[in-house]
Amino acid sequence: MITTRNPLTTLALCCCMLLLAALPMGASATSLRIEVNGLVCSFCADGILNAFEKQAAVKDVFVSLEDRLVAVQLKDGQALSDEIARQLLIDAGYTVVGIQRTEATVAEIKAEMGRD
Amino acid sequence: MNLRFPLAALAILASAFATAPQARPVSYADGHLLLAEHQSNLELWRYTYSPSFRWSMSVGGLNADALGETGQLQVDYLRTARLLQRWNFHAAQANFFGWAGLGRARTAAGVETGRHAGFQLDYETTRVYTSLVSELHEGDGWSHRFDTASLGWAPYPHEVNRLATWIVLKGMSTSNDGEAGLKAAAAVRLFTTSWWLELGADEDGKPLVNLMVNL
Repeated sequence: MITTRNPLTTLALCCCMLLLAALPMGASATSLRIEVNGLVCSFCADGILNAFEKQAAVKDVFVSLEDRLVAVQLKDGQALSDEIARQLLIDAGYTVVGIQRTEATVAEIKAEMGRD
Repeated sequence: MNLRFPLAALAILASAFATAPQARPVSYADGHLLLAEHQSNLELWRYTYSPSFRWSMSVGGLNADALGETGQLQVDYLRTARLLQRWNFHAAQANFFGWAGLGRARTAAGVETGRHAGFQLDYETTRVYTSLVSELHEGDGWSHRFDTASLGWAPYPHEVNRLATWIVLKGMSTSNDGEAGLKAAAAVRLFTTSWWLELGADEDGKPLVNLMVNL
């Protein structure tokens, strides 16, 4: 039995595939934006910088006391789970309020906050 | 061990090995801290390693004079400290630390084993700092207690990778076998993520210096 596909259907399928390919994928996020409680002392925040900089997957770290934020940029193709990030901050003595993934680099996060 | 070596030498030594810092009896996991302090009748130094943010171990020394009947106290000690409670607030942090140690104590009566214990309560935002520190040293027939209450104010909020500036007022009490003396002091505290320096004077105009470096 021979079946023929409507050219319009084929075109619609191709468009859908192209659209799907263009959508951002959560798993490819390059940075973590971590909201932290207790972040008030730059002398003490050194532990956060040390902990994240020791991670092989980490490219850049930024800590803002004013925004109570720790931003961590990952190296291309590298991963750092939320659980590990959370544990690193707990080990540094802080309380994690929430973690968000973003495509923005640390430099872009700094610029967004007016810290560049 | 003679603890009267120049503070400047320790400061230079500390700076030479400095890579990063912290101001408390316990810092963070794998944190190393070197501290040196000078007051009118007191000098002390301490090296602290914190395997976790919950506890630390230190080696240190204290040299105090003008202390009642025993006159002078020199102690070289080992101690362990523990973060008993931490409160991480939205824009503030409070801590309760406790510590205890043993060492060799030299007084006018001779050399013996000295023991000590202390606690620290603190509350801090990026603009306000308060703390109460108390430490008791004792041996057979003598005891000395050092209490310090501090109140600090920052003229601008401090931030990572920027110099923090604080104005700190202190009330310092030394109790010797029950007799207490109280002094007031004022200091400027400067710190970054890698070092901490406090410079000031007590009410008699005698200098007060406190240096800490995260190694």
